[in-house]
Amino acid sequence: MKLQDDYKPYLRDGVDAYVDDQRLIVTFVFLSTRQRLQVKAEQWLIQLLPFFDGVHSIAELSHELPEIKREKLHLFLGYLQSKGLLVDSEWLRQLVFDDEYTSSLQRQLNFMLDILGSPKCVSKAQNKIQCAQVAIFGLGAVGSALFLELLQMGFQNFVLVDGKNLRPDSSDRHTLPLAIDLSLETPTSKVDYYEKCARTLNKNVRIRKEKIKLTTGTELDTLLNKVTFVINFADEPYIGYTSLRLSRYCVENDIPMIVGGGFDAHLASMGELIIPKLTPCSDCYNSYFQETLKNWKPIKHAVRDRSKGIGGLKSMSQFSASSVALKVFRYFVNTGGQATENGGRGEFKFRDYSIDHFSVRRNPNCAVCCD
Amino acid sequence: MAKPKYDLQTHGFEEVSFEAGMMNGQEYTGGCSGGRSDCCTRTCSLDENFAESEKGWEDFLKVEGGQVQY
Amino acid sequence: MIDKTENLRLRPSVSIVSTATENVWEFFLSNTRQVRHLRIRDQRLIHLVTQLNGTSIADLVKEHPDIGSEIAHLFTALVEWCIVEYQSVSKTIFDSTHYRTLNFLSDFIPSYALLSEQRRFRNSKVILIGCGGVGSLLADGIAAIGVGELTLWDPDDVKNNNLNRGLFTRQDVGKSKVRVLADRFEKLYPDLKVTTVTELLEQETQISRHFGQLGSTDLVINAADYPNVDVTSKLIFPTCMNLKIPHIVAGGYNLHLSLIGPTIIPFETPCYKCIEMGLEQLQNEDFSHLRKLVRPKRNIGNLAPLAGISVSFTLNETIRTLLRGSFLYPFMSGKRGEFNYLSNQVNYTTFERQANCSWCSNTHKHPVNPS
Repeated sequence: MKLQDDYKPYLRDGVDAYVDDQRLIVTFVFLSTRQRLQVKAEQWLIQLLPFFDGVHSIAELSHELPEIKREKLHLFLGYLQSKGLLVDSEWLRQLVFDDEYTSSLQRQLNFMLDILGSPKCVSKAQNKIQCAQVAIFGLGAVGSALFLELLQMGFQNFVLVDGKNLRPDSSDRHTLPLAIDLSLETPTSKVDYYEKCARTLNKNVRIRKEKIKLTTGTELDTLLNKVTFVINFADEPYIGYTSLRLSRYCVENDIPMIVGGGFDAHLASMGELIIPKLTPCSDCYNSYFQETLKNWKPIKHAVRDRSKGIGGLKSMSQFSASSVALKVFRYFVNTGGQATENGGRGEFKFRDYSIDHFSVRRNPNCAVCCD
Repeated sequence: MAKPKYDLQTHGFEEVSFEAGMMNGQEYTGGCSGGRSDCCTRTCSLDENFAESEKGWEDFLKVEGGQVQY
Repeated sequence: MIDKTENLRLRPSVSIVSTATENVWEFFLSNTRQVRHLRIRDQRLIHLVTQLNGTSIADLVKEHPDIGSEIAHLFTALVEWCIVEYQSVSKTIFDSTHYRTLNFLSDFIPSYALLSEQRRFRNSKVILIGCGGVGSLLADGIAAIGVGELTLWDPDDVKNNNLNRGLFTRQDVGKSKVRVLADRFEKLYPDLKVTTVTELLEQETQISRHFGQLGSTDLVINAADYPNVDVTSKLIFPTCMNLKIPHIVAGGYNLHLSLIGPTIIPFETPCYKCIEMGLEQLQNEDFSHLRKLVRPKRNIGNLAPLAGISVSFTLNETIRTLLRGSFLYPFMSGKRGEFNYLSNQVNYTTFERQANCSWCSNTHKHPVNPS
């Protein structure tokens, strides 16, 4: 389809262009994928490249050009558009979202355009994000930071599950990502507090609050009704228990899930994504660890009550939270419709800033996720 | 090579290795084929201080091979 | 250095595991996942370690005089190696709202030095330039870990398109970024002294004037990425070199790459200019003979969790820089890192001090020539 004369071509931001003025070749580099496209063009066309800036329309660019060159310009622009190099400068306004939503997400949408290549794909992916119903278990240091980032990425529908209160005098305050009500004269439930925080970012956010602790008796059908994504940070009494409980439910009900990091000995774990029937489930992880840890048995510790003896660091919680947020984001923008990550876990180490990865395969005998 | 600060003969102990958590520690658990990252997940709960109080969960989850490891 | 009359205990976050090799024991520091293997000849020694919960070296030696010398050496080493702590210090940690941070740092800082290092921290003065997506989160992190004074520098007001990352809410739109943060910190971190600067940074002289007014400073962090972090670093860092103030580059991103560091200790590590020279030498040769199309109005997208990752690294470097010495040192000195969204990996490039650097070589020590 021929471009209209009022079209203002915009060489999108995620592309670098290098010009060989002698050979009249332009090399376009897609920054996100490092793909390169080389195009040989007449000099006058190359000279027009800086004007593909979303300000100059085709009519203005063709002004004073002879007819044959106007045709060539149209063809050239059409070609660049077909290769994902050009977008309409007004592309953001053409998305399906309301202005307030779009304006706050503008920078993210630009990022997505670079990753996905077309406004249509951006719209589709962001729509999935907007419509997702995410359940977050555990609003501690990592869970709360993750919740903030999900809000900032445009997620709007949540189930928040945490039975605890914030205490005004406690170290909880040092983990608050959004300190919007600092009086906290009386203990406030975490889910109430974070609902309030959420509304300061997006008044349209819909939150179902569950002031409970996940137990063996928790009724999950009701709790996870209409939930399309689960994120687990509940590490009491133990992350393994809560993850197994949730993973079994999610696999049976085809709900993707992430087990987040930040628990003891895994302060900057990057989390594992569980996609039912595709990746290992928590039972597979459990089998794997049972095998690898079978000879690893710590001696009973001399100190009985170790609750305040465990370390944590805001930067490590942040790393965990952001890693999980990236996993969630990737899941929703993946052009294949689901992530293709293998099972496993990454750990960031403070000592030498390296990230250790290990892989976990699905257990072929897993009673939960294998047929 | 610099003399280690502590040696078995003189001090009764010596350092065998120190890892920043990198893979494949030299004196790793005997049967383990993996690296450091995949283990040591349940340090606080793995020992006897913890296990007794969580029988309810263990019974509910009924994992094969005994105690849950994550 | 170690007080043999201090009661000791095995650190709660340390696990002891027997290994397959006779007499070799594994000590796992779970906060940081560091592992130390020790061969301990006498079984009584390892028994004493595993049971250690409130006994001093002096008492242990008295109780076991036949292995007194070995006890003294071993337990001294265990304190140095952060496996064992002073019970008195653990009580101070227990009573502190920063107990998790202190426990974490205790994986690197022996018990006898922990509280004096904490005082160093508490007395630190940090200047943060740039309080946007990365800077605002960073400011909160720096405040939360307990520094003494923080200067926040940013000329901007909060805008709608700032809300997809950082610490601002809709209620903050239109308000000065630094004032929003200062007001928040006044309530949340009452022990923190906060000053603000709202001048638009355009000239190096502004830096030298303000730094002169602010007095001695322990660390400067540049999170000002408009128009880009390179431009702002060249305005800020010459003064840091002249005044010998350690400085860190925080944030900066190139689409799917989050940039990390470097950390610069003037006249000790490669300076910003050294690294710039090193980067030029590494330029992609493919494009060195080509003309890059200049596009002044690019609107590079970004993503909340990528800002979070940048913040995490910078917070780690902040701690390591403020506490640099026998136990900790900046990891990013002489290094620049890139966290890649697409691969989830971080890569580091190491640089050396350049002999002909106009900023820090012997012939150009003072004053710094920023050209």
